[in-house]
Parts: sequence; structure tokens; C-alpha cells
Amino acid sequence: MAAIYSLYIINKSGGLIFYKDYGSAGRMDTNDSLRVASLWHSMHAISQQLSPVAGCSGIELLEADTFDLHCFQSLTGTKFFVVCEPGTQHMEALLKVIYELYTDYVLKNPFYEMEMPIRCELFDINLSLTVQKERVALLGR
Amino acid sequence: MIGVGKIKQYSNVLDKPLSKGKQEVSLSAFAFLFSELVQYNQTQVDNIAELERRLEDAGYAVGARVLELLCHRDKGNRRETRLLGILSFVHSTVWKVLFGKVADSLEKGTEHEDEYMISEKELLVNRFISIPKDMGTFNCGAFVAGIVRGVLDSAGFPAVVTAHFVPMEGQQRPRTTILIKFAEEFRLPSYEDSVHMTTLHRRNALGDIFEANNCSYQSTTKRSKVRLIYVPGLITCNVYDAQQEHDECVNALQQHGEGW
Repeated sequence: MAAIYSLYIINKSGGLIFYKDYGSAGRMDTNDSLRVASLWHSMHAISQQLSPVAGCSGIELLEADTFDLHCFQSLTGTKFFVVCEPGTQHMEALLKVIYELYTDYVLKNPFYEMEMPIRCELFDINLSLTVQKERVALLGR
Repeated sequence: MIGVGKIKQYSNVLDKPLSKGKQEVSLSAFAFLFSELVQYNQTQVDNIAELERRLEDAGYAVGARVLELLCHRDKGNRRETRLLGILSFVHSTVWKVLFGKVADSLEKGTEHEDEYMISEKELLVNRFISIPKDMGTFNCGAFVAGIVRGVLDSAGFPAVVTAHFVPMEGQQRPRTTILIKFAEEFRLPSYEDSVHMTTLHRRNALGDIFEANNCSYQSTTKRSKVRLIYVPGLITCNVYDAQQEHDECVNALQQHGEGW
């Protein structure tokens, strides 16, 4: 039972720069994942405009019948979001950890070009370690 | 707030002891700076070998300065004159100052006498760096190799230093090995050397080792030409003209007779 379905990272113009799925549920092909990424980017922007509260930073959590979508936007506009089982806890903390991994292993890598798809071995390794740890923790709870 | 209240006030700045300074810098700051160094050099070159060479040159300047600083700070203005001494100085003292720990291992090459290896499971400069597949065996450790070369060269041990990834069994990530290959004249003398090397070459090699190591190497061969190296004056003189050197040896041989 995998609680986390998939992880997306989109750059500040809405392009998908990283996608990874965990387990078969909610799996998408390349085209669909790109579509989800740009759709989410637009919805996020619109929600900021439509919000009745001043200074709204966009959607943080979208709850559906079959999944939850937790989103975290960094100060530079890069968005990280996970799709997971409804009611999964501690996703905000996980997104913060993933953001930390991104700043360490992607932004400090001299061979990474900004706003381009992420292809960094160290990021992949450490990300799977983190997600694995999260899974173990979820099973333990 | 470590250290608050510990600062002693000195009326005269000259009374103040030379501090070691703050020993640590932010790893992130260093990683970004190093990343920029690599990125800048990448824009200046058109192939990977050139990039490696530029990183090594950048490290060389660091190494030369580090040697100067550490000889002054840690060793009372002395520097190592023995080969193994300088290697362990690099492996422990230099590594500790630069990376906060001694290197994981210092080994002697198995295939060649004049090769030494310093290995690190995770080199600090490579901590956040993933090499793209199309760059092959490129290793940003070239910068560290340059530092090592700078230290050795400035201490009078010219060497060729390169950085390589070495895959490790049961480990996801390869380790980095800094391979040090000393220049010909610093090879430690062995019995085979004294038998197989040409006379001139041998004298040159041993003479330099005398200068460098200040040790009393005893040749095991009985041939008079080999023994000439022990003639005082010939040991320390730097003769670059092979013919002149040869003549001097012949003269010395004649003067000292067969006893030498």
C-alpha cells in the first residue's frame, strides 16, 4: 500500500521539470503528466486572483474523493506537489524536505541548467531514500 | 553564542596572538562558489580535458598557498623534505584544514613504484555534484588534484596528479581517488633500478634523492660508476649538461682511483 502516488516539480513558467510516480495508482504517461503540470500551474495562479483574502499564495491542498494533492510553492515560484491517498498526513513536511533536496542536489550542481528538466543522479538517489523513509513512517503510524 | 565573553582585550595589537581564524565556512556558500567556478570555466572551454585542466590550475594556486600557510602555522616554518612525510602531510594536515577530516586512505600504487593514491568515499567538492552521462569520466575532483599538485610541486616534489571515479562494490556511488604519479627523478631507489637504469640516469636520480631526502642510501652494486654518486659535491651540484656531468664523473674517477 503506497500512500504517495506521484511527485511533480514545475518551474515558474509552468513547465514540468520533474515527475516521478510511486506504485501503479494514479500513474500517467508523459503527455498527461505535462498536461497536469500546466493545468495546475494555471489553476494555482487563478486561485490567487480569485481569493477573497488579500495576499493569498495559492492552493495548498486539493481534496478529492480518490486523492489529495498537496502543493508547496518556493519563493522563486517553483512548485512542488504530491498526489497521495486521501487523508495522508505530514505531506507539508515531506514537501519541505524535497525542496531542501532540490536546493542541495539540483541548484548546487554546476551541470544543471535553471528551469530545465532535472537529471541529477544524486537528487534521484536521495529522493528515493526520503520517500522510502516516509513510507516506512506511514506504515508505522 | 559560542566564544562570547572569551575575547581578551589587548592594549597593543602586537601583543595579540596570531589566531587560527574561524576554522569553518558555510558548506552551502562553498558549494555555490565552486559550482560557479565550474560553470564559468565551462563557458571558457570547448572540451572536457580543457575543463579538467582549468580546474586543476585553479586548485594549483590554492595548494601552493596552503603549503605556505600550513608550514608557517603548524610546522614552525619547516616543510617536509621526505616523500612519505609530504604525502602524509597532504593526507592528514592539508585535508584536515581544507575538508575538516583526514582523507579516507593513502595507498601506494600496486602496479608502479612511483604512484600513490589518496581516496575519499565522498569528496567534499563532489558532495552535491552529479556528472551528466555525456561527460563520461569527468570528475570535479580535478580541483582537489590541482591542490595536491600545488602542495607537492611547491614542496619540491613535482608530480602529475589526477582525479578518478572508482566504482565500489556494494556502494551506489563511486569513490574518488586522487592519483599521484611522481616525476622520474623522485623514484625511490631499488636494487633493480641500480642494475637496469643507465649510468647517467641512475646518478641523476640518486643525486636528486640525496638532495630531497637527505638520507644515506647505500648502493648494493660494486660497480665503480655507481659509487661515484657518493663523491661530495657531485651529490648537490645541479648539472644539467649530461656531457659535462659525464666528464666530471670521469675526472672524479681518475682522481680517486679504483678505490672509488
